[in-house]
Order: sequence, then C-alpha cells, then structure tokens
Amino acid sequence: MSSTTLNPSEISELIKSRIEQFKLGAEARNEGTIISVSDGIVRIHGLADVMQGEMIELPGNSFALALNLERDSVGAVVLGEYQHLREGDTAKTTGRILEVPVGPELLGRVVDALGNPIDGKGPLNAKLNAPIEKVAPGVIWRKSVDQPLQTGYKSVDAMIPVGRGQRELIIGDRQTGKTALAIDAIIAQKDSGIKCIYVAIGQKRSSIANVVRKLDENGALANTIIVVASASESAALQYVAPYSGCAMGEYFRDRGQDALIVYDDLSKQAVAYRQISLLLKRPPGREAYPGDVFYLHSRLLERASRVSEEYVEKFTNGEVKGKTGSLTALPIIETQGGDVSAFVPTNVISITDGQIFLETDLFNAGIRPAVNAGISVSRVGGAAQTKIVKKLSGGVKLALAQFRELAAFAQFASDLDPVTRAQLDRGQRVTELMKQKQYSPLSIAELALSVYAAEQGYLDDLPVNQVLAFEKGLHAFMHQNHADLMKTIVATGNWDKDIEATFKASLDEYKKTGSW
Amino acid sequence: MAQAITLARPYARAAFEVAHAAGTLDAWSQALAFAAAVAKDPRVAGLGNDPRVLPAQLVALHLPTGVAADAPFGQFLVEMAEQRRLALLPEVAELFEAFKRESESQLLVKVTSAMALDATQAEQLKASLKRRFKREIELDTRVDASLLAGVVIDTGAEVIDGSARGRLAQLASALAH
Repeated sequence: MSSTTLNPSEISELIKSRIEQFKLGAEARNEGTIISVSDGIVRIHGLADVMQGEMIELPGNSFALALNLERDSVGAVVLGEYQHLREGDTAKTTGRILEVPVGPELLGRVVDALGNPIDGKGPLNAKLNAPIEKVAPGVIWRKSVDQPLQTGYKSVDAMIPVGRGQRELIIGDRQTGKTALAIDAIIAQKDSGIKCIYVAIGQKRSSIANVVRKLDENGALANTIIVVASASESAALQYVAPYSGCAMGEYFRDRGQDALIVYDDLSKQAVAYRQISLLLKRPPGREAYPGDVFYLHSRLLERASRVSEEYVEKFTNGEVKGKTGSLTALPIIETQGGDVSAFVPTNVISITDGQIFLETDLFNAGIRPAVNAGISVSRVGGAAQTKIVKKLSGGVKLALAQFRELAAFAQFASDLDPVTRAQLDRGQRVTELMKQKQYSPLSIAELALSVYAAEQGYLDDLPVNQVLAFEKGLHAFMHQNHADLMKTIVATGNWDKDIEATFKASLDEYKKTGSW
Repeated sequence: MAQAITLARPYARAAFEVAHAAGTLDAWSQALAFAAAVAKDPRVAGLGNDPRVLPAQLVALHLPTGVAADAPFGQFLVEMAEQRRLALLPEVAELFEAFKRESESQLLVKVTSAMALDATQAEQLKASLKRRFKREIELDTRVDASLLAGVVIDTGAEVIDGSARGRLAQLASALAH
C-alpha cells in the first residue's frame, strides 16, 4: 500500500491541523461482520441499530450506504472501491446520513459524487456539509414561478420558456444535442448571477473533460459546480451523484439566490439504481426497474423549487430578508429510437413541468438545436416570460404551427394560393431563424429583435439561406447604433411604443443598407 | 440467501417458550448444549441429509442420556428431524441461551484486553457495565496482545473500543481524510 511518493494531503501543516482537530474517544458503536461481498454490495450481520440510508464505516477508509434492512443482515452498497473488503471484516455504524460539502467555495470546481475535489486545484475548504437526502420544501414555503431563466436559445426562450424554479425535461435520442443545449443554458448564466451545477452521470470521462473545457473557455466555469460520477465509477456513486448535486444547489436556493442544476442524464442514474436494486435482490418490475424508480426521480426533482421570502428569512435566521430563492432543474433523459413511452421517460415526463423534445430527423436536417416545437411544452414558464418576449414570440409559435400543417404541401409551392404560399414562406424563414450555433447564447434584446423582424415580415423577401446572416448583421447593427436601448431591454424587459418605433426604424434602415 | 440464524430463530423461540412456561430452562439449556455438540461433530454432520438415516435414528443420536424420547425435548428433536433441520442445533442453542439471558436480565459481555485483567479490575468493569446496561453482567474475558493497551468491550450489538489499536486506527482515518 505505501508508496514512495508524497500525495497532496501529506503536508506537515495539514497533518498537524488534522491531529489538532482530532477528537479521541472510546465511543460505543454498533458493530457487525461482513458476511458477503459481491459486485459492490456487502451483506453485514449484526448492526442492530443501523438506520435506512445511514453510512456504515468499513475497514480501509471506505463507507457503505445501508439500503436493505433485514431480520439478520443489512444490505449495503459500497461507495467506491470494494476490492479490499473481505468476509469477516468488521463494519461499524456512524450515526450519520451521507453528507457532501456545500457552499460558494465549490464554484468553479469539479468534484466527485461524495464532494471530493478531482480537479487537482487543492482542498475545497468548504465550511458546511449538507445531507444528500432532504425533504423538499412544503407547500406553504413555496412561491409560484414568475421570473424567467434565459437559456440563450431563441427556440427555447421564445417558445418553451423556462422559469426560475421550474423543472424542464430535455429529452431525445443519443446525438441530438441534449448536453449541448444544457451546456449553453449554463454558459448563458455567466452574467446573470445564477449559480449552476452540472451533474454528469455515467458519462465518458473524455466528454466530461470536454464540457469542463468548454465552460472554462466561455467564462462560465467560475459560477459552476461540476459533479462527476463517470461511467467507470461504481453504480452506487452514479446513483448518489444527483442527490449530491441537488444538496449543493439547495445551498444557494435556501439563501435567497437562484441556481440552475442539470442532471445529465437521469436514465443512466435509473440504470445504476436498477443494478443496485437487483444486486440487493429487490423484486424487479417493468423493464427490470425496481418498484421505487418513480420515487427515485420524483423526490429528486421535487427539491427543485422556488421558495418564498419567508422561507429564506426563516432558513437564514433573518440574515437574508426579502429575497426568494430558486433551484431550476434541467433533467436530461435519453430515449431509445425516439420511444418516449418507455418506463423512465414517461415517469420523468409526468414529474417535470414540461419538456423539450429533441429529434434525430430535425438534427440531421440541419435544424440545430433540434427542438420539435410542436410537442415541446412548458407548463409554467409562460407566467415567467419577460414582457417583451411574451409580447413578440406569439407570432413565431403561430407561424411554426401553421407551417407544420402545411409542410406536406411545400413541394407543390407553385400550385398553391397566395395565402398558403405566404404561410409556407414565413414558416421556412422562421424555422431557419430558430437555428442557432453552439456556445452563442442570445440576450433577450437580441431575441426580441430577431422575433420582431420575423413577425413584421422583414425576412419574407430574403432567400432562406440568408436569414441567419441577416440576423447576425442586424444584431451587430443594433449594438453599434442603439447600444443603450439594447441594454435597457436586457435590464427591464419592457416593451412599449418607443421601443417598437426604434426597432421599426432600425430594421428599415438596416434593410436599406443590404449589408449581410 | 436465508441465514442459518434466521432459520433457527423460530425453533429457538418455541423451545424457549415451552421451557420458560414449564420452568425447566436449565434442563433445556443443558440438553440443547449436548445436542448442539453432537450436531457439530463432523461425523454427525453428514448424516442429516442422508436418506438412509431415519429421523427417529437421528433423534436418538442427539438425545442426551436421561431424557426420554417422549419428553418435550424429545418431541422438539423429532419436530426438527422431520424438517431435516437438526444441523441448525448449534444456532438454536446459541439463540436459546440469548433468550434465556434476556429473560433473566443478564448480559454476556466479551472483554478483550491487551493484558489479563486481575480480579479487582474485572469487578470494577462489571460494576460499571452493570450501571450502563442495567443488567447482570456475565464477563467472558480474553487476552489479545495486538490491542497494545486498553480493552474492547463487546456486548454483541454494541462495541466499546477503548484499545490503543482502535485509537490509532481512528487517528489513521482522520489523517487520511
């Protein structure tokens, strides 16, 4: 076991402080004996006083989570490595529920499912720990969702708005841009003050490294916590990771701040939980998932919420007054072959407050983000939309809905009546306008401008393939000539006659230049 | 996987309740100890599942001298033999003893020390354990030099580790985290 190299925790000062903090005591503890170890599951004889979900101390500094309490034995899942455990080893209760470090110190860091830093940037120095399993705030302490959370995507913000405290599911097959959408939503928060948590479950380490790098490059890592339980880690850690991330997000929510958490993805967590459950010999149900797989996700997503001023004040003992807190969740579910009626997708669809459907066909047709506007919904986001976006985005939704109905006739364009033709033309241009590059979130002012241009027909006489170039030029033009107005819109989100007049005049002027 | 102790529990409880009602706990305890010793014998262990051996023969084998086959203990063995559970006798005896101690509000405490305890130390330990657990204490002392110093007190469910080895292990884990 001993190696000849020193590791970062072996600094004399550190060791000294640990010895000083070390409290020695002969405390009475419940003890048991390991009777079997298999696939990360240990069965322990004894431990009469163990609690469900309690941490069990095993030899070699490892811990297990008690999940099955039976008459003469306890089934527990080892958190991390289990190769060193032997039959006959002693196991002790700790009297504690699994806890992870929480607090602003974690921002900008990459941690594992137990909150240990894995980015090589030294110790976390977090002052607080929080249990990973907590009951969601009750009805009395909640407030309805009425503030928007800008994802920076035209298609999402205009048609499927997300509010602070909402749970909006991102669902789609593999390779449809689910993670890209979530990452862009995080990048869009770099100046909004919303803290982000990205929980990577069962993913390749290379893709996680990629996400971390992209966030860093786009300046969004500093207000983001990344919780990693990669594919190579044990199923127990993959099962625990979302709850750890949620505990970290709740820290901000409970202190009157806003936070956004992305669970990427919950289908892999369900698979990890299925593995644990089957190894614990719990009876399998549909698709071999255990009976409580719905509760697995519902108790997690219920913790994403908007809480009232009173809750924050009570929680912080009056330190923070008059501020609401929120934790917005963007869970991700991967479907197989577009089948949303499988067990886990239907469960999560019914738990969340709406879903963003991403489709392979759209993705391959070059419509990226591949959002299917027809079946994507947001059940509460409408109430939270900024005034200006709400006012202007109606036309876009309508144009796309009409376009979908008529799309089948598109190939007979020359034989159609002028009204239908106009609808088709508008639809094509709006569809084109909804395309957006990765890592380029739009502000609400830019979004409003684009949507206004589409609604007022400024795009109708443009060739479809020039729409995006026109939009880009338009944004640059506005930032050059009306920078103040753009800033005010971002700050207030208001829409009035003056703004409309400026928009109209600028669009006319820009269109005259023809410079795109 | 059902454990032997889970299977043995209903037999032990039934035996205990019969003995308790009849006030023959000690006799049952001795008889069970004998039968358990027989069942543990490697020469007997193979016979339990041997179809050529009749249950009655097995009962006769496990029955202590002086206990009639139609006495309650004999009937108990017949019952176990019919279910082919005689191999569980050691566990049954152990559980029976536990139930017996419970009813007599006694507690068996295993004390492991680095050096042998002298009589006064044992008495002191007994007195303080009696205060803590509010039971009559029955000490089972052992010596294990690898503890270095101090004692480990094991009551079955609860373990009080006051040994130098345990403290060093605590320090090691505190340093590693």
